[in-house]
Amino acid sequence: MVTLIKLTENDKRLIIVLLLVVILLFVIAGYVGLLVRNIMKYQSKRADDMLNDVVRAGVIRDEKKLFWFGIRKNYRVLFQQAWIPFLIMLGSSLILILYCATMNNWDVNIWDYKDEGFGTLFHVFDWANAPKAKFFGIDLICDWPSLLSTPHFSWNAWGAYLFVPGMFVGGIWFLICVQAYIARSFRIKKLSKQVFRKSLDDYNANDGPRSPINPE
Amino acid sequence: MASFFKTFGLGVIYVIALPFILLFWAIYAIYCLGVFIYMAIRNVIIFFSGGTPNGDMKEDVEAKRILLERSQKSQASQNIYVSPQPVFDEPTPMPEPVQNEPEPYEQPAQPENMFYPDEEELPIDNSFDGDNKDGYVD
Repeated sequence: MVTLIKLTENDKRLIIVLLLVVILLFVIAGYVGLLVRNIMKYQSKRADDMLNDVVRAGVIRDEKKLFWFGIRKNYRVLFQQAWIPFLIMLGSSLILILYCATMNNWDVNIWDYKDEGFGTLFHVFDWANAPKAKFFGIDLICDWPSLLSTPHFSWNAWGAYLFVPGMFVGGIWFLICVQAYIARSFRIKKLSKQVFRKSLDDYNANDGPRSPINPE
Repeated sequence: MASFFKTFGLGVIYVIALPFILLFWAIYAIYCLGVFIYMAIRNVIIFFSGGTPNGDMKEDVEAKRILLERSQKSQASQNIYVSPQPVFDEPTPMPEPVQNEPEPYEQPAQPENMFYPDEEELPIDNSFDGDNKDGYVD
């Protein structure tokens, strides 16, 4: 018998641990996906609110009209929800422009960790020169890399300190608004088909009253 | 255990589909940015032309009017059939608790024309001396 790979007891343990970690990561990904799906279901309820009155009052009696009405209404809801994060991002950008103008430096690196960037607030490691070891022919990092910078406050980085969190918060907020817009769009598409659908699933012609048979 | 494997399977699917989901999300984000800019310009124009940006759409106004009329009609129809309830200034006193005593029995009055014949006045049949020793007529 030809033995292709000879595994030591340590290698077997390592493989089992790696397998468990991979399974755990996939399970966590599954739960995150379910969470996002439930959040989108919650966000899509707004579409029901938007379309309820016009359908119940009978103002719209057509699938296509309901769909386009829903889309136009969805634009308005998107604007109502997204103007605050948009303003935050706009304000952050203006602050950065103001910073560049006052410092007379239009070549700012906002991620710089030495003096003028947001990286000054974090531990920065030298990942490029991290110690590595071979595992099944692959180079893997086997130890913590050396530290390039420790967290410190720098007055020269005030532009980055305001710009990066503002853009981060505004961006995430805007992406949540986009997610809500997608959820509502799907719901509008579904409702516009469902509300005017004629179904004979629960109908039986023998159950209803019949016209009397006239004697000849 | 089944739900664990189901979640694991969903996780695998989500991880595989993640790049496409992110691409879809990014495309929608760009689209939404365009929609936002379009709505902002439109709202500014409406605002400066004296209108109400993001006000009710004409379909909404129509729907609200119809629903209001319907609710008013149903309210009016309810007012016809509902009788007004009496209003008391003071709360009605609770009745005294009934004591567990038997009511006195009153003999019902007999009708005046009721006639009960005396035994002496009854007719006697003396035609035969059979078993009927008393001689009463049945």
